[in-house]
Amino acid sequence: MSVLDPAATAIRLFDAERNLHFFPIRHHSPACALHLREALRAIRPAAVLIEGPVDFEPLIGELLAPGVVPPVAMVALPDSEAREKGRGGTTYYPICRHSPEYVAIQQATELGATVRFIDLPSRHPSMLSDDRDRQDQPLLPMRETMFDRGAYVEAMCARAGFRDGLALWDGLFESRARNTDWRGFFASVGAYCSALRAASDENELQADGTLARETMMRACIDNAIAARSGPIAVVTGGFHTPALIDAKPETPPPAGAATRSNAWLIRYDFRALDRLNGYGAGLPLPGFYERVWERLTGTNDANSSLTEEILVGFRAHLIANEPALAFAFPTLRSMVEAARRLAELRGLSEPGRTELFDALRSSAIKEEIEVGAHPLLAAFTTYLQGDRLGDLPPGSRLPPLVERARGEAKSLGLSLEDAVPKTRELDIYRKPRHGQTSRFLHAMRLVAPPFAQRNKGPDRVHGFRADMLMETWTYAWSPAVEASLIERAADGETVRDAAATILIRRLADLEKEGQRNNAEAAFNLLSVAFDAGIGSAADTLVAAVGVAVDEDTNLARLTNALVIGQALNSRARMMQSDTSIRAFSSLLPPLLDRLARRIAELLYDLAAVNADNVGEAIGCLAALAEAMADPDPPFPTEPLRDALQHLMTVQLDPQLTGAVIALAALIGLIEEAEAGRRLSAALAGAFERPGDAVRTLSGVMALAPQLFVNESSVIAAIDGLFGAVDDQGFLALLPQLRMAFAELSPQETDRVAAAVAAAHGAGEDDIAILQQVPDARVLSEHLALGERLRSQWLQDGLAAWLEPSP
Amino acid sequence: MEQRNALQLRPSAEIRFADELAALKAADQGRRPPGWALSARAVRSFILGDSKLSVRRKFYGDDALVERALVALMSEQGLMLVGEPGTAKSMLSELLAAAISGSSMLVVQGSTGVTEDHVRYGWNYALLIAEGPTPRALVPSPVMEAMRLGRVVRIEELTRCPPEIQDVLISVLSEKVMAVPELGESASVYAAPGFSVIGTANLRDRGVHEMSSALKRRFNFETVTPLTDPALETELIRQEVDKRLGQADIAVNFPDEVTDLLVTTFQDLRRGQTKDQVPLSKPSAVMSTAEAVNIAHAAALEAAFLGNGDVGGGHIGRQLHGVIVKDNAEDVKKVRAYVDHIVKERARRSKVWSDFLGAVKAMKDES
Repeated sequence: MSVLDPAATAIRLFDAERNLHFFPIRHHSPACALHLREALRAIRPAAVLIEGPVDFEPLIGELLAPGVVPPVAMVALPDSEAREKGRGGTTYYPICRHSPEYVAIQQATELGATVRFIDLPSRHPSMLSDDRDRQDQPLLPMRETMFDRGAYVEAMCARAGFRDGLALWDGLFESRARNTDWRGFFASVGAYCSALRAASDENELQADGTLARETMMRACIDNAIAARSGPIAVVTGGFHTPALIDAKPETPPPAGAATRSNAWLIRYDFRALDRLNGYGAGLPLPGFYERVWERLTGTNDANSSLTEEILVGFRAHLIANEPALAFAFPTLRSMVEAARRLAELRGLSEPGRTELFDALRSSAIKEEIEVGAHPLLAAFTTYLQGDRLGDLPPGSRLPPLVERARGEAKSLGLSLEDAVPKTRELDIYRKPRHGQTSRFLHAMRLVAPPFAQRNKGPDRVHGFRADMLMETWTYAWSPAVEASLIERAADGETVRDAAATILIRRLADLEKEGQRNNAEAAFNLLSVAFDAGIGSAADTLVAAVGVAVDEDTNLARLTNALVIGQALNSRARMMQSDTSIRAFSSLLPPLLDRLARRIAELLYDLAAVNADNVGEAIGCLAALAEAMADPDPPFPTEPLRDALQHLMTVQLDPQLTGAVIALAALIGLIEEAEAGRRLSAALAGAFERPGDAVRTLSGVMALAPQLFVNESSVIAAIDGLFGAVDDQGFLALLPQLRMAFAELSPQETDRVAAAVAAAHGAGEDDIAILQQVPDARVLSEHLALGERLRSQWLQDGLAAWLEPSP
Repeated sequence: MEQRNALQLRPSAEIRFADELAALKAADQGRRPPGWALSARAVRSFILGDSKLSVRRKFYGDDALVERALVALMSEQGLMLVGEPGTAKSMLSELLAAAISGSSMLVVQGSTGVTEDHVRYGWNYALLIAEGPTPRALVPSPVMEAMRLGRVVRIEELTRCPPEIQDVLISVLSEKVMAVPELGESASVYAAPGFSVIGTANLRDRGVHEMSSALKRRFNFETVTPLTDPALETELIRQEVDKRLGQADIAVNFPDEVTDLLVTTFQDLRRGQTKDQVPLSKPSAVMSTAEAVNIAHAAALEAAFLGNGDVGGGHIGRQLHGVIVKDNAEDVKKVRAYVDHIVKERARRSKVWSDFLGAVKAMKDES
């Protein structure tokens, strides 16, 4: 642990002899920003060195361009290599109007000073997180978690009576924003930061790259001194300042300092900014601190105080948006009073963030608060977070992906003017342009999910029905869309390329999760690629899907895959005008050929299926029936037919027997009459459990209820079955029968009823329809009870009672 | 007065901490709100401690809560302290009254039996019959006394008072005046500066009277929560137990490990999960710090009078039972599960925990 003397640091911040001035700051601190502006005006530096990644330097000019409205962010995108190494996060350097760095850049430019960034390049290994769990989190060159925790902060809080590091910072420094003594202010910040620094663990600083970065900063300072033409101001996070003041004899920049990166200036918003603060990016609640900044700089010279402005504004916001939470006017008055008195009690010149929250809490909440969570407090946090959106002038340089996405959306006639969600209906098969739009939206759904949502359209869940010709979409262009695109910008220059990269990554993820042999998942990805019109990725995908097909041993997944593949093929036939779709339709048949042969191989194993896992097997056959219903199937049916033929000759679980017969009839392997005969035979089968024969029926119903309805011989067979069992036998069959008949539609039930009635010589009028079917359990209980009564009466010699009354 | 206090089981706060209050008063530089005995900052120091003046910290937990409470009392609002039983609400209200008004004796003990006499005024009937309604015959309530003297009046368990009694407070808090029509049309008691009301309530208890929103509006609410910081709780328990034992001249050996066990058990059961995020079912019994102090105290007494003066896990285990079965039988099962799964594991590595386990198990078999 290096020990730095706070008092000494405070003195050496401003070294008149070396004409070198250090300004320790905290990110997004209005107090630091204001004092820094005054200080720069007084010192009139020739060069201002700022803690920012050196590769962001070219963005300084863009940042100052007219039309730039913070919040904006400088971002650096990972390259593909970085992604592969698990260092895939995007680097963010957010800037708002009250950021000291931004104010310093503006002031320096006004004074004609050169502005340099002196931190390591954003993609330097020392700037990246080594933590694999964090790899998709944003990376922040300006992390300053040390202000929030640690032994020193805790001890200071306890001594000075602040609840946490943030309140401590507010109380010690933000409250001094109006003090005109910038030297005194920075001396205090410097002393505080030195103590923070002294209490931190050197090994940790080595590990997280802090020391390497400081070496870079010192090297840059040395360079600036060598090239000096006047005073130099060094603006860095206060935590680094103590390590920069003492020039070390040799400070060569660390290796890799010249790394270039893919850096951009983008629009940002306060909500996103506040989310970053979860990772230690500076003061939170940008909406609050921006208001503070407006007051400090006189851009807001309202008559009311900041406290009044915020609380009155919050009340108006609640009345307009969340009336249930709104509080009465007298409460507002007592809140303002409470905030002032709290500030006084805590020795502050005016109420700050903490006092506002405390005032709200004590005056407006008239009930017990559970563990600090109350909707009103949450609403206040959101209110103070602010919702300002940054802006860039038209024609700003943006990552190509963003430009291309905007361009393509516009050329397809999508409206991007505002963030209001709009609905679009697409006739995907008949109108080529609608088809293109659909594919673009599907691709955007992969690349920038906030952009579009599909409300309706053909898919696996709703079936790829032929009548599903239209898709309905809701879409809106918002900063969140832009942010998503920027995060994906390294994946490709066009939406389609980026989508392809994402799909291929998902495929790799499948492999990582041990799902390499999951044919269904692979076909699902293929289906997504198809929807998004990604012809370029098709080769890679198809190869991977082929592997999955060959290695998958799960019949259910394979048959589902076949359904998806068949649907893709038939949809492709309807959209031959598109080149990407044509690419698919040439790749699909060989794949489906392999798939069908694989399924046929596995079908033989169904002979081993027993009552416990018959459900899944039935599902497979149903899926097969779905795929083979295609009059011109894109896969060879011969191997499948052979397998079925074999299955019909072996002893199967009764339910499976039914399903196999149904499937065979469906695909024309046997005549319907033949199917009826086979079923009748199966139904008459002798099993140790009486219900087993009826399970054959369930198998048929699951696949082809029409077979049962159309084929009178089957109905006759069942009717015969009923005739053969006594009432107790019927009760035992009842559950199985109910299960089997549940598959029928009401019309089909009617037809069966009519057929049965006719067989017994009754007309349609004689059918009594039981409108309200009682609960199955109750029904069988009552039947059983009736049966018990009957036998009791017989025993008691009351057989006469059972005769129908004349 | 002094004489009588020496015999009191528990002297009031202003007497117990007379030295500290005097020291604070002597050093107090701040502006005093009208009618207050000390500045708000001095009151804060009295409650949260000030090492320079050797003022001991008396309230552990949320410092900002104390500050908000002070601000409420400086304003025209009353202060309502809510929270589970045993979270030191009453103690906090006593300390506030003692420091602000120099007296914590003006108190109404809320209950269903509270009548208007307790919050407005009553009469000395002998005098009333002899002289008619005269100021001499009037018996003021603590509330009226507080108004007259400009002091803080405490109303404990406000929600246990019948609604009509609660309603009396509405006009007292908003008009700051109490009319005495029996003494003439214009006879009223006006509140002197410094008058305020501190109520305490347990909003979750069954069978309490709902507060009207009119009354709620006149109070600032503060939720007092159980201590979540084990270190703070440990410190508080040690202090309290040492004080109680010291008063009775009892010396025991109370190892840190035993206090740790007590605090850990309480924190686990209170939060429904252990430090290592192992979930457990939370008993409904109140597991407050005050209860923990009681257990520690009782364990120490057992060790002193029935044992060799060494407090161990067994003593805590035997006392824990009393806290748990106070409320319901479900709790006993929950604690049993806690003991069977979590304590057993700890008992393997520690003598204190295994004594604790043994004692709780022995209890179980009896019940």
